[in-house]
Amino acid sequence: MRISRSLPFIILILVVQYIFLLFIPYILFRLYNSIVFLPGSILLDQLIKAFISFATVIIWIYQWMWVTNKSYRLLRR
Amino acid sequence: MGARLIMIDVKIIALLVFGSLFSGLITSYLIKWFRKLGMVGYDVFKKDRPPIPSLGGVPIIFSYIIFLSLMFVLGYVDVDVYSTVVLVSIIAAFIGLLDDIYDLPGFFKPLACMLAGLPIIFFGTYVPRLHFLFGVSYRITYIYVVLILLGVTVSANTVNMFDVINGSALVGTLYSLLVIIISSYWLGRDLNSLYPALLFIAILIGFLPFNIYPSRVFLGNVGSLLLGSQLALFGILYKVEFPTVIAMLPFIHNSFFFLNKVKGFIEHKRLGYRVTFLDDKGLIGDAGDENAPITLIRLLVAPNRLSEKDLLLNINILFIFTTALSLISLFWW
Repeated sequence: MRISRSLPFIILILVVQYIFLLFIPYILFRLYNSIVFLPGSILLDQLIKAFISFATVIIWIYQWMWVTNKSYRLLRR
Repeated sequence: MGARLIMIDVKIIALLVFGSLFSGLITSYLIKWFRKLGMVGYDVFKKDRPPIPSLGGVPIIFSYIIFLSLMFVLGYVDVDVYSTVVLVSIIAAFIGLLDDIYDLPGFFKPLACMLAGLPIIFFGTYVPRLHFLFGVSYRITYIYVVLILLGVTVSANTVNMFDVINGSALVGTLYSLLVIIISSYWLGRDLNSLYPALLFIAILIGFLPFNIYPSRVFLGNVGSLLLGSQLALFGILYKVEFPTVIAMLPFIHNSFFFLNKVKGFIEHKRLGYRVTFLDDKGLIGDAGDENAPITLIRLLVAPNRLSEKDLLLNINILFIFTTALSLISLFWW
């Protein structure tokens, strides 16, 4: 049985993604809800939440790929 | 969570055990038929590339529907939940079967799999709230409907993309289902409501000896899309979306890279470049193609070549790790 030398790297990447996934949407939603001056329109509220959700996903994916790309180059050296 | 007495009906235990045995039996029988009908795929990570029957999802869905119907008849499953689970499973498996038989274009599966999310919306078996840390939750009535369609197709296709080495998609799904069951129970769900998920695990355990390394049958698109759709369905049904996503991180890691590099949904065989290769000793290595996506398998074999069996062990370690992460997060959920 052989363990891949890249396994610690991948585990580290997954831990970073885990922390991102748990805390970033939570912080963004808490921030949004603390802003009291927004108009009380349900549609606007939903749109802003949709924007927050999708922006989080986009940032999540791109930082994930950036980190993995760097790790891959490091492992291939 | 306070200590709760776990009481499982003897009939349910019997259904789970027989479901698992039935799944194994019918798989062993259908394997011969698939071979006779020429429904085979080639195991590319073996030196002699043996032909392997490739519609493993058929016995899974067959056993699942039969035993779920028995549960429904015996009054263990609510009519809305039963209808949702059956329709989601049939739609996802049918899309996979079409792709297995007709080899449809790459964009077909992601688009068509959205249809598998419709029964969840139609039967209203969801709560449009997203639960965050420390008990905070927000109502997202409209967005949640979109998230259901996206969630089902992303989950189905991400499991499909990870079905690259013997047993990889199946073991990942089993770990993720384990997370769904434990986190749902931990967050206060009745064990009775978890019967469909428990049955699906039992059916997959019966199928496991045939699909794990060295595979005697492949899942096929029919199986992998079914597995992925069930993960999304149970995540939504039991309100454990975040724990499910955390458990599925290795799946997601694999597919994001694929999509980013390929800029679209294209079948592996039509890519035009190699991600990995098999050397003379039967070890899998990184093909080193700059244009190829950094899939999870490629990342694992980048520093040192590994046998398929060792790769599966490494994948198991990753899933055990994400399962642990997911369960740890329940303490502050």
